[in-house]
Amino acid sequence: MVRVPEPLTRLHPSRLSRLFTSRLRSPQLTSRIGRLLGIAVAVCFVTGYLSHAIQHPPGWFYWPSRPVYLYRVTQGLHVATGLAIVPLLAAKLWSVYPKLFRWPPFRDPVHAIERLSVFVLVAAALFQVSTGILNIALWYSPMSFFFTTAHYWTAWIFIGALLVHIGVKLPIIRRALGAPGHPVPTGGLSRRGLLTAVGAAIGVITVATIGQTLRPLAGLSVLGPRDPRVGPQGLPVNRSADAAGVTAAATDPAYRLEVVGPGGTLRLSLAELGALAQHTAQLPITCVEGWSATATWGGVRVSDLVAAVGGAPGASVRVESLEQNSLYRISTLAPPHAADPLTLLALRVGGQTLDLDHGYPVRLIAPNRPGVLQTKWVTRIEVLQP
Amino acid sequence: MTATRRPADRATPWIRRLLVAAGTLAAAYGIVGVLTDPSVSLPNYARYAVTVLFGHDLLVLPLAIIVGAVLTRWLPGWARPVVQGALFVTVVLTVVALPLVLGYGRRPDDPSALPRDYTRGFLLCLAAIWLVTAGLLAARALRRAPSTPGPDTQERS
Repeated sequence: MVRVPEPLTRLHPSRLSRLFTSRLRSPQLTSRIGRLLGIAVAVCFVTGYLSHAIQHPPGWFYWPSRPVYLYRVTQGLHVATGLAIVPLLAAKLWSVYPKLFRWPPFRDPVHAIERLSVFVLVAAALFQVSTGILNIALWYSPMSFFFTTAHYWTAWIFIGALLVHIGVKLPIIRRALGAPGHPVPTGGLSRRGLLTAVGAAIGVITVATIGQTLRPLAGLSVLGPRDPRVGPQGLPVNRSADAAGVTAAATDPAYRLEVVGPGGTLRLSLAELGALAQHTAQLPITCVEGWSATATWGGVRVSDLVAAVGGAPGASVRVESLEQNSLYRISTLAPPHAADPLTLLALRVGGQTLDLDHGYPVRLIAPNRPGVLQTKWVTRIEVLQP
Repeated sequence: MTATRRPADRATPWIRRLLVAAGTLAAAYGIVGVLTDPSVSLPNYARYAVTVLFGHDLLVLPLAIIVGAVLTRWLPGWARPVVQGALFVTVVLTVVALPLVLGYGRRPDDPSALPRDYTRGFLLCLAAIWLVTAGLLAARALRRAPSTPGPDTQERS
């Protein structure tokens, strides 16, 4: 028989999990963090699904045009909660880390499947949080897949694996949360201390970033990926005219807006558009990336144009951009948004002619909609009869 | 919950089955989506998922544990929790800040994308965290000093 030297026996898989000595780890701690994490994940899932459904509405889905700021709140919450998940997930995974080295790895086939589902859960959680952070930092190169669809499908894997995990662990969770909380001597952070640190981390991260959507905090949010005060005409831009390849077409004096409806087709020059009844609307532009900024837009009501070409009030309206190669070249205004008097084809922002990067000559601005659907450089609108 | 313990106990197996069944369905929907949606580009997706999983489990987390243990090892017991908490906040803030500090997302044609000096912002956050930490340590040291006179009142921060 060979005796393995002592330092190596300590690294034997059966002893690996004993290397972790913190007495802070306990089902009580894990369950308390897990409860907060579960709530945060639920908020992210619901707000994320909402944003998906607004952009790809299923048949049963209805999204109103009021209140005008609703999407701004849900999407701001999606990103802020997603960032708050970072400290929660870090603490949660730390608290169960020794279990990764459990030996033998599984007791029976059912246990093996359960452990596999935990791998799926952790991978999905890390995937969602990391891709979300990369996306708001506009750093796409590490993600050699389409972020939007990958983040969407993985959200289903994440929420599903989480439900399975809660189902499996429910007795442990109940016992842990029901047990009287007595302090355990740890030689370092106490349970309350760690939860305080998690709370402090959420506080710092939130204050450092939330100003991208809460303008009063913009000065404090030194890590905000956007500043609602910064951009042409004091408003951020997601895609510039140069990047969209529309500069020549948008500045062409021969530009005409085509308005198509059951009563005929109008081809309006910029001067003719300016001669129509002008209205102003104070509306936020809200990006799916979580930033938003309110501006005062001026232009022609979409509902007026719909009426001018004989469209019925309950119609949807398809809005097309000069931009050629974009997933968001066309957006469809659902009836509530098409009929809303605040929905404009804007020619001005803040009293000035639209900047080229804001969609000159004409852009769509409607209440309670994601920015990617607020089509810029509009060339054609078409009334779709119900 | 405690008042109706018995019915809850009887309902528990069903709640668990329901959670596992609903979760399996949702996860299966997501997995089928990942496998069939061409825009996901499966090999890249799988490579990324495996990288973040193993990168976290076998690199980032053990490294954080080791560095944390080393940095707080020689601290007196009264200072250790505060410093551990501050290290935790520092490390998770770094995760959020790093992609911004690196700034690969900047666009020359769009100055409103990543408009701030994120290195400065990150350093300001770190300064705030460690200033508060120093304050907490000082308060602990002061509270402790009168009650335990002796040679072990030396201050470290």
